[in-house]
Amino acid sequence: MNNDAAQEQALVRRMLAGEERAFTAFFDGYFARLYRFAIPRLNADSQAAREVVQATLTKAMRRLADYRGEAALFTWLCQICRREVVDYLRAHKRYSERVVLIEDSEELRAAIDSIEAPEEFDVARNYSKEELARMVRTVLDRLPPRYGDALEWKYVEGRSVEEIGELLGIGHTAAQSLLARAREAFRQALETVFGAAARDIREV
Amino acid sequence: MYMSSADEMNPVNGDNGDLDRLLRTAGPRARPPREVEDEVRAAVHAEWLQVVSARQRRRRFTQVAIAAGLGAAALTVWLLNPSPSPPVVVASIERSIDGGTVRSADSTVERELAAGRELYSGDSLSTRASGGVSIRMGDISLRLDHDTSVQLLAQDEVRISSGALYIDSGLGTSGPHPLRVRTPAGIVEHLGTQYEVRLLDSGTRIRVREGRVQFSAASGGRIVGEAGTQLTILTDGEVHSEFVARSGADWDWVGRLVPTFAIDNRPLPEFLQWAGHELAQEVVFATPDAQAEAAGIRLRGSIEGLTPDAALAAVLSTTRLTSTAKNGQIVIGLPTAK
Repeated sequence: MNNDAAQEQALVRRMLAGEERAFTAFFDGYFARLYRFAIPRLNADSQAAREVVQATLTKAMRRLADYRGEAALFTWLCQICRREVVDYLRAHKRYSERVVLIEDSEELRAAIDSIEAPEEFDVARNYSKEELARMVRTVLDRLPPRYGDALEWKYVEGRSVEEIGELLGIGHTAAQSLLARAREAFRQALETVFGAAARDIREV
Repeated sequence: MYMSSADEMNPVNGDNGDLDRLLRTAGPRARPPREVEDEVRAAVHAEWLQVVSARQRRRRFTQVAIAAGLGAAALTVWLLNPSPSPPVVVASIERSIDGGTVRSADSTVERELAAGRELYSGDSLSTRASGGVSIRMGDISLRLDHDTSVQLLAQDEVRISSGALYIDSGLGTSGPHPLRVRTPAGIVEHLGTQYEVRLLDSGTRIRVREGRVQFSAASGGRIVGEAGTQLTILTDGEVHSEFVARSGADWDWVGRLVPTFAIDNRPLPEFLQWAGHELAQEVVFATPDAQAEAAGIRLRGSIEGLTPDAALAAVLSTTRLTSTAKNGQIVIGLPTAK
């Protein structure tokens, strides 16, 4: 079991034990990502996204004891969310309004599969700026919460390592190390998580 | 480029041009609206507390069972059942006029707000543009104006996210009552009987019809509003207090949603007390003879569907008694002899 998985299982155990700080860490770490997962699948309907995410997290609380860490916690939440999206669309008869995400397309899957040197990001050349931006944000959401945040703070907001360390409550060296791991995870995730996301969406 | 010179020297900022460009192209990830986050957090937190509480109850029960040597298979199956306590019934719908819909916390399926339906903790209620609904939470009558969204958080707590709520803790109730109304600006608790909470574009407005309410601002600080007071808490936290009439057209929507009062075989004074309460006016008798006359009358029939003032007129029309509004009172009298 890798370190991230162990941390996620520990978080779940603390939540089941009733630790308020664990609930806060869980909600702060996953709510926004789950909302961003849901909203493009619901035609950018913010009210629908609110309902679906609330239903997802409510069900996740009820099944928390069943979480065994076989998948990442966020992947597990996305699996529940996918079913909620289907239920919502069915209940509201909105199949015709469904948005087909670019991650759904065979073209993208093929493009991702063909990447031999993902660090060069050649896939970027085949997509519009908006599509690429959304895919990158999707990848960031698939990383452990602190990785995605650290990369965004560093490369999008331009924060220094010192500032990131302060935001995460860790020292300078630890922040440097975390950024290095985050960068590597991001590089690897460009291929693997894009593939996972495409599979997820197709099932919806 | 954003990096400081110190950053450029550390290994994290090595040859990152491609990474840097890609992430900057993506831009920041969107944050959900704060009010959405707060609402969902409250609902999920309530569910989490239930799950934790159910587990702890089961664990205690398991320890007792082991200690007592109770190993019956059926009991074991029950103990191992991982499902938490289901949501509890916290309210029921008394009246619905072109009402709206209700959705439970764990579902996206909406059901119609129909009279008689039970409502559970976590349920979210929304009324239509032409609708309204009256629900009962224990002793409390809760009326939702049109275009109103509320969530029933517990038996003693609701959250309003749009529209207006009217709270009536009932006849004969005095002193503090535990119902809490959560608004974006803070929490309203009533120390008396009747008030309205309405969310406006500019903030939250509280109109106190009877008794007193206490408003606890999300930013800290408490204000108490007396009967006949309107408190407006603006979005920047500024509070305005002014006089408001306790009866009149502003309260018509409340009367439209009044729960039916069963008059059949009830003494007239009971009905008069109810009507006075609903109209927020004291009922007095003009003469001892009028009071004696009222005490001897027992009612028959129904006032279903009538507003309180229409019901008062309809009921008194079947008696010799008359009513006159005077100085905030309803004066019940007998016709003067000619």
